[in-house]
Amino acid sequence: MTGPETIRLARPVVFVPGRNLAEQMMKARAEHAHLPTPQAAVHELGSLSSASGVPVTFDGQWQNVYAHRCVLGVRRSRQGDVYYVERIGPITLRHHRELAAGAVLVSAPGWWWRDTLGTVPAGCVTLEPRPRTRPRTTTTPAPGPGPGPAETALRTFCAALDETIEAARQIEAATAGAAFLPYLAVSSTAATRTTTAGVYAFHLARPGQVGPGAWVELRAAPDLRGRVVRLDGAVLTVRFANAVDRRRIADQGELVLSANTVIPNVQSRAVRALRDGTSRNPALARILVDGAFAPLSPPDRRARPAEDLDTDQLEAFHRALSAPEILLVQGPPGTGKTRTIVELTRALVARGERVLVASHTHRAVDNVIERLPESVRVLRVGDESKLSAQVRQYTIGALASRVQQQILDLTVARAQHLAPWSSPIPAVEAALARLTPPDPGRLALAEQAEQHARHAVDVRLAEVRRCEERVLQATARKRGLLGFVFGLVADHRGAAVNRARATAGSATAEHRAALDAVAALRTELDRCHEIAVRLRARVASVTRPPEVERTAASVAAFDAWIRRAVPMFRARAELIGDWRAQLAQPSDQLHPELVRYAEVVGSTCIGVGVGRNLLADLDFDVAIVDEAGQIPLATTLVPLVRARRAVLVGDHRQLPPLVDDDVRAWLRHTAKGESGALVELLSTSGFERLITTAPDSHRILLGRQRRMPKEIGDFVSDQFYGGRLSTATPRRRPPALFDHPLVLLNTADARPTLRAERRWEGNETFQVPGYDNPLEADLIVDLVQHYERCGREWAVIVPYRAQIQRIRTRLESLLGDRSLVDANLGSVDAFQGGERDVVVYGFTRSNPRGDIGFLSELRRLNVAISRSKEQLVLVGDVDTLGNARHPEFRALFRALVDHAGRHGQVLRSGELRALIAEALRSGV
Amino acid sequence: MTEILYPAYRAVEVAAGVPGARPLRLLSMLLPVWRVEVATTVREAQPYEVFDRFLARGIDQAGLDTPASLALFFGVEASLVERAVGFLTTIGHVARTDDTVSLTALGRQSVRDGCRYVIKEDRTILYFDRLSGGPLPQSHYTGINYQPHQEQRGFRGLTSMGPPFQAKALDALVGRRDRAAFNLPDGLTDARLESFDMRWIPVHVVETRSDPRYFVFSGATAGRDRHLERVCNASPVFLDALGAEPAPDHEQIWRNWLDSRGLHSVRPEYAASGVLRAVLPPESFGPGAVFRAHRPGTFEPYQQSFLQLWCADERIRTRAAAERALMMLRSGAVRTAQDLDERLHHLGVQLEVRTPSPNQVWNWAAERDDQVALSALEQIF
Repeated sequence: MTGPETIRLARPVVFVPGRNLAEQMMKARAEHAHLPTPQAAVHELGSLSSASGVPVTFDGQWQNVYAHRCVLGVRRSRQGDVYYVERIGPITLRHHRELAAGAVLVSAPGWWWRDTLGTVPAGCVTLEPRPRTRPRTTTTPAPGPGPGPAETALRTFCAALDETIEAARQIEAATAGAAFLPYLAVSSTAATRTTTAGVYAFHLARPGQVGPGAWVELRAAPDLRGRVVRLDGAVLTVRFANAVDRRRIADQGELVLSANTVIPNVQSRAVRALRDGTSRNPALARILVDGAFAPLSPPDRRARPAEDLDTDQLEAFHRALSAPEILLVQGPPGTGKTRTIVELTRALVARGERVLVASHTHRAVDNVIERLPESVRVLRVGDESKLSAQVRQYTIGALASRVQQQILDLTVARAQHLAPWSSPIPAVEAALARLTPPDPGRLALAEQAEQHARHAVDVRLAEVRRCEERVLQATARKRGLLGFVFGLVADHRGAAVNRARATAGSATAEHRAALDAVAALRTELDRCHEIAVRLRARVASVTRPPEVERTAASVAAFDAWIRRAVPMFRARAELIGDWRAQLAQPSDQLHPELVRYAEVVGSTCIGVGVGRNLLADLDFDVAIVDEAGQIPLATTLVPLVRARRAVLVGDHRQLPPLVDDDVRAWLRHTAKGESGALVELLSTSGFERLITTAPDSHRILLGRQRRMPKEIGDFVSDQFYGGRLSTATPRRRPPALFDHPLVLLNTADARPTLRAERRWEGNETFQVPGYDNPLEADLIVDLVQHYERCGREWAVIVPYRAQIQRIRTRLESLLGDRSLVDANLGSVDAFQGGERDVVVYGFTRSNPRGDIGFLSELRRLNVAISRSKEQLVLVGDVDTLGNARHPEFRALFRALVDHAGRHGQVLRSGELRALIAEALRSGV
Repeated sequence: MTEILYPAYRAVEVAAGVPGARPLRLLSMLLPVWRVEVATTVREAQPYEVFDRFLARGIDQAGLDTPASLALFFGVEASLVERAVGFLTTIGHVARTDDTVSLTALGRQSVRDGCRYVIKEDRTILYFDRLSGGPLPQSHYTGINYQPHQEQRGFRGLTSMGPPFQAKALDALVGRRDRAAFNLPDGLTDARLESFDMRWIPVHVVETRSDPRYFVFSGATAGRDRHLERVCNASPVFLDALGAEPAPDHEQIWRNWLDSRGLHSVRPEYAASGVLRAVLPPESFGPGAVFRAHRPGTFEPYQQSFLQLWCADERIRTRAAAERALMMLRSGAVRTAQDLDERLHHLGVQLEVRTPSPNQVWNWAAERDDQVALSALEQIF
């Protein structure tokens, strides 16, 4: 809090009585008996001064000095060295207002009262007068401090993002109309179930305008919401988001196509996290709003990837490992983005970090997840029907089931072995009762005593022998001159022998007793050893018991161990029983922990924020966002706010989130007019926004492509990457129909009426007119038939729905394989990230005006021509395209024609049939 | 502008209704309080999940003291056990030394109680009044419109230039056995002072001739605020400030007030209850008159003083009782028959008329076709 101003005086403050004080004081104390004397009040000031300061307010020449329960009205002396106390009074409400309005707190080394001026020491001080302390007259609280510039900028930025979220939702909604789908019956299905989410088949009253992937909800119970997984005639199969009580589904009713509120809700939460400062990456707001990046510390180049990376990839790998906040990796087509991400993910996991791999599409996430080694604990979240077969094993349902089964399998033997121990085993209890091993100390003492006793016997027997020897010596000399004397000596010594023998006898008895004691202990030891050995064998199935030897110490140690171990076996038996019983329950119970303990989580960006994916409480050390150039900023934020740092991998020279044309069409459609800021935010990815503001240290280009033949790669490099993209692909022989990897089939040789485009009103999104081109469609169909015969992977990319439909109809009837056609025919958007041996691109537009429509988005062309591994065949009217009204496209196309002329093949459309016929003849 | 406290006349009405209170004057004040942010530790009991419960049991009961032995025993991948042990370590259940793990006291307690205790830091705001330094009871955490400034129109602020908030006041609260009554439940432990600043409680203070001398009315309770009343009547700062306020010349104030409304012939007079009254003729009340029909018996606050509007005609006072009874019902404030009885009794006493019965109120509502009041009565009975 902001408190009152504090003043520290270096010298004491002295008070003397003013001229009228005595009279005033008498009056005041008569009315307010609690008032102290001025001397006492000044004394109080000393303690106030040291505690918090003495409050002082100003009133012209007067100053009010506040003690605990009174206020002194004082004036300064002319010299300013002393205060005259003129009045004393209670602290009234008026004083409280003055105090609140502007008091200062004063501390000084001394607060002294002096009766006369003459006793005032030199060098004392008072406060200079100040403007009168006036109670404020304002009645409304002063406004608090407003947001600072940085906060204001953040709020503005987030408000703009909120607007784009709403606009994107409207664009999405504009492409889908609400529809009711009445159904006549509901039936159970035999759908694959990996979670408890219900799957039911709804028999529609009439075929509905709905396809797989659409979200529907029950009109009568909107909380029952699911995704259409199949439409078979009039039978619609719906996989619900959660477990569903079948009784809540009426046998007849209506389904409603859901408005997709999930995406805007998830995006809005991410924006809120950014605005509220709860992003796990605290630098995010600074980076996004101010474009201010913290310096990058020098990368640790000791880390090695498990697989070889080229120079650029390795540099990205090292910088990403040490990036404190964010790193931007630009990966043009075929430059090994996925490989780099995989190696980075492995290295991060090895360092114990939790990694989020997110992208715009499930396919891109799966590409990374599929390549991670099995040792990495991976969790893949998302709609299972959209995941690749290979990664479905990593969904939470599959993971939990697998873990549960593995545990049950691995613990079955242990549970069986421990089961008998769950209650006391009579034989073991009896053995334990009989297991009373001798105290090793006692046995040692007994053995020591036996040795001592044996030694005593030896000594005594030696004494007996010595005495007997001496008797013999005396007896031998009895026959001599002094035989009589020696006879007496011999007798005497004989008595000594008897005494020695008696002593030896008792020593021998003692020794025998000692021997018996030792033997008894040994016998006990042997008995206990035998019991221990048997017990040891018994417990060997449940643990690795200690060895037991036939020594008192070993048996005693075993005894101590087994007495601790048996209750533990009981505890373990109970524990393993409970564990297995727990795991016999549905595996859903493991979901939260398996999510929490995952090392890598793979998800679409939006999936990270979807509640049912259980990621709400999970923080990540690093978020790696692939395809970031295609992801709107509001969506990119979803993974970014959940991780402490981020690596964005993408290419802003390929398709952006929404192509400008789409946004402008929507703006026209909704009569919102042109809105530059909105168009910019909607059509620019977070990646593009960041990479254009990031310093060089924070961005890196993967500059070696391994997909396209050099002839195509060089053109792409020159036109879209400033010549910084090199080709590392070995030169391959192109498919035999043409001599070069790059072919331009020019339809300008055909009559204008034959080669012309046809307009289809309202055929595209937002009722924008579409176009088809019968001549180009025929040429493309011929080419596809040829490549299909040759067994080549092919793709046909055209810009308009009408042209797609025309080619699809022809190909389906010619090839007889609808799924093959679906997988390989489409607009550019469907192919970003993909690759094929041969790509056929049809421009479609052919008119004398030079109108090119969608083609004006040059990044579409970049994506289209950079998908091919062996050959790119471009089909188009060079007259129209080379004279396009759109200057950038015109320049690019002319460069393409020139490049194809020098490094590829430019053919007239009329030549194709002959070439194909010849190829057929020659058996190609 | 939103009012920061209910109107002062309601406080006067209550004070006047206290037998022998003899209200003297009225002040609307702002009392200083400390707004103290306190960090505490909360031990939250969460349900165990699967791995964490069994791993903790394994360590506690089965002598499994390494991640490897846990992984082997439970048949779980070592990396998963490592993560789970890491989680248990993070929440303070497991202590790890090199490769050996053991349960902490918190972990053992959790296993024993079968729930996962998690220690969390909680932040909460506590209020301490500045006059006594004591904590405010839980009743003062709702209903009070705490003000961040000392200046508000119509209110006079008390300040205190004493020392800043003392942590020992918080320690004293923590040590109280009845601390839950002061908004610090027992579950919040290890309370630490984080920050503090000042706030002000708006109150109406009615000075009386009774004991206590000052009745205090805040939004915390429906009637008198007994807690703040005790604090204020024992506070030298409060007593000095109010004691030093010059007594208003009540009669002069109200003479002027009545004159300004054209009631020159009316003179304020003291009633037997000690309150100042203006006895007005019956034509002064009702539609088109100076005062509305419900005003007899009500108080008019003005310049620290208040005046009861009165009419000698009992029919006029009875009509006022009817109007006010119906107003109470329309406001939705009356929920039970007992509450209604009490309020009607209070009305009877205040207006010196026979206590209206609920039946009488039904009739009044029916006569006026007051559907809202009728509906309220139906709900009560």
